[in-house]
Amino acid sequence: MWQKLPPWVLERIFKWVDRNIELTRLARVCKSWSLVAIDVLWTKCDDLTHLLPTLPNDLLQSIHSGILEFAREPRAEDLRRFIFYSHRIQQLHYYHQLPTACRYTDSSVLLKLHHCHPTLFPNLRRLCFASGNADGWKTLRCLVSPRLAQLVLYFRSGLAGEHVQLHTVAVHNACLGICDVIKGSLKTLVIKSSRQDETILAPVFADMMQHLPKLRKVQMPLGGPLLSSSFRHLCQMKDLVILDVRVYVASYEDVERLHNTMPPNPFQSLRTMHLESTISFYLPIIRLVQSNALNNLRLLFKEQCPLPTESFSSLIQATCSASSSLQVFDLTIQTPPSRRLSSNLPTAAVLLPLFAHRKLQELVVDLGVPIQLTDADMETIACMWPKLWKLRLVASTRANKCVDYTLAGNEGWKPLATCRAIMALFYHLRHLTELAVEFDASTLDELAAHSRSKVGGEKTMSIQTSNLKLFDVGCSLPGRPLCVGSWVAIMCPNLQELQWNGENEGWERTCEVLLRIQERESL
Amino acid sequence: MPVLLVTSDNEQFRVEKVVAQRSVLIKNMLEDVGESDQPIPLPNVTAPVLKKVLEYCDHHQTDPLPTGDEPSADESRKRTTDISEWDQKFITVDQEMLFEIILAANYLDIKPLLDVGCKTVANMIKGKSPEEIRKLFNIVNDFTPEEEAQIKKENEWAEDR
Repeated sequence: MWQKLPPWVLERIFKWVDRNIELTRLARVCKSWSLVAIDVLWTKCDDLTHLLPTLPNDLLQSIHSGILEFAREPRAEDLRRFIFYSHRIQQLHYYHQLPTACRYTDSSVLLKLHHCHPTLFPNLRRLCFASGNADGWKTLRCLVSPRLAQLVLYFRSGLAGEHVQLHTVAVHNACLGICDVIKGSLKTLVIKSSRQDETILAPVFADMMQHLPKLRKVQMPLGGPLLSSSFRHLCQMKDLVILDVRVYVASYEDVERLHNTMPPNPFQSLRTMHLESTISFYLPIIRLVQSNALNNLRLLFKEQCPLPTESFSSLIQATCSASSSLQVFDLTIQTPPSRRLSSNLPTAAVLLPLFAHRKLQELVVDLGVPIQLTDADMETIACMWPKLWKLRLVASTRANKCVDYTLAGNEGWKPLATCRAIMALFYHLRHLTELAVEFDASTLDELAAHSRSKVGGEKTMSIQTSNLKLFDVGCSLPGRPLCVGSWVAIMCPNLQELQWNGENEGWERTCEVLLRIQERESL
Repeated sequence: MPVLLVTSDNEQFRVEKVVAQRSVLIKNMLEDVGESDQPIPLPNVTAPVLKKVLEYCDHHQTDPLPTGDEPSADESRKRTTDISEWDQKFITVDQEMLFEIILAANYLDIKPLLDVGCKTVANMIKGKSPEEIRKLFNIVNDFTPEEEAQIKKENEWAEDR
């Protein structure tokens, strides 16, 4: 009876079995169960040496330190059992290692097997490939299949000295060599490496990109002389929905060439854009985009010099005009520290273009300098985006480095918003779990006094606890630690982390009070 | 509005539409046919099995319908024992009935019921040797000793995981 279960039902049963050892037992029950159990067991393979016992005993020999080589020339029939298993592999992790490991699949072994059987893994859908040397890159073509949908390439070691060119050529040849095989099927291409390697290898991927027309997701560094042609290629890809690129701009001429040759209406299907580059690269491109699909934007700009306040507004304005409904807007600008008048800091006006995007769920605006927000601004924010679960409006660099107090003639920069504004955020933003805003916590006493002496007829806000898990107060003024700690504990019963910028004894003590209250409550 | 279901042994079951529609097969049939009092034939299900399946559908009639996203192998492997108390009691039946319920759930396309059946079988298999599994399910070993040894050798890497 049980031998007659349809294979897809049997597969469903075996997928609930939680250990590989159980699957090896199921593979030995009977022939019909064996095929299904082996299918489940071999779908994912993270070590190619698992396949070596499937080769005839007399074919391979260990020469030294477990390194294998062929004792005789392999023939097609030697691969019968190898193919039986390799055809089942749909996900493969292959990390080419230098010959130091105790069990090591040498590239020459793979290349010879590939010579006997040109498609070793015909059903492979996802390949994660890593190599730290030129030799390893030769094996990439042995692994890919015409059904490969996801390719993740890792560069494992830093390139240095005379090996740089050798390695770069090997990577270039390997990447271009597989494009013909995967160009019809590849949907996701992810490149991961150290920053140092990226700058050298970015031109290689720019070249590779142009041979892959059906990509839906691209995550890679781009740069070099082919930057303009590869980026133009990306703009016109009809299926591209996720783009995550770091752009290394080689020269002003490269960018100029790209901007002059950009097609109209780029990125028609793009939903998610994560870009790390410079504003001068990004701005002319985003001004051409008019998309109903684009709803997730994460932008990181690394600028060489401080930006005038007006640039923030034009940047946000251009970005907001490109999309009809943003859900995620994450903008971080990193600039060298500058000294500016506090009267010259950006205000809530920079956020105005975002008000058209009422479905925002994540809003992060880190301009490198604090945004001057009043209580009224905070209340507008609270009412404008009811679906927000993440709101970060704190500059990651210390605000006091960016503001010249002496020039302002004040004792120091301080946030304009009060505790009342924070209460408004808690009250209106019911989904909020992560909040980073700056405020003046010393206004807590004032708020308490105000609540006690409710003036008849004046509208007061009801108290509403928040689901906040992370509260970053940046460079907020601390207020009295005991009161503020108790207030935060009452308002945010689920809070897991309180963060602040730099060394601030006031917030350190507030955090201690908060932890003590939380400990007592958990008892 | 009730729906009339007819089993392979010609027994008729009149059930509420909301209960019958836990089966994606019946739901699609009703959508294709539209408002009609025509009986729906179920040639692959016998009366005792359908009675049992309808008992499950009736109990779970208000559950949200599955989204269609299959859990990944890694996800599903972690939740084998995840069977509710009522489901566990419901599925405590003899092997033949368990087998028939799995086949019926597969035919009628009732994924939650299929998963309850599959998890139950997976729990029965756990920790048993091939011989014990054969004995439990009355399965004939059609491997030669050499073939079985070869499978063991080729899959040895998985034995310590």
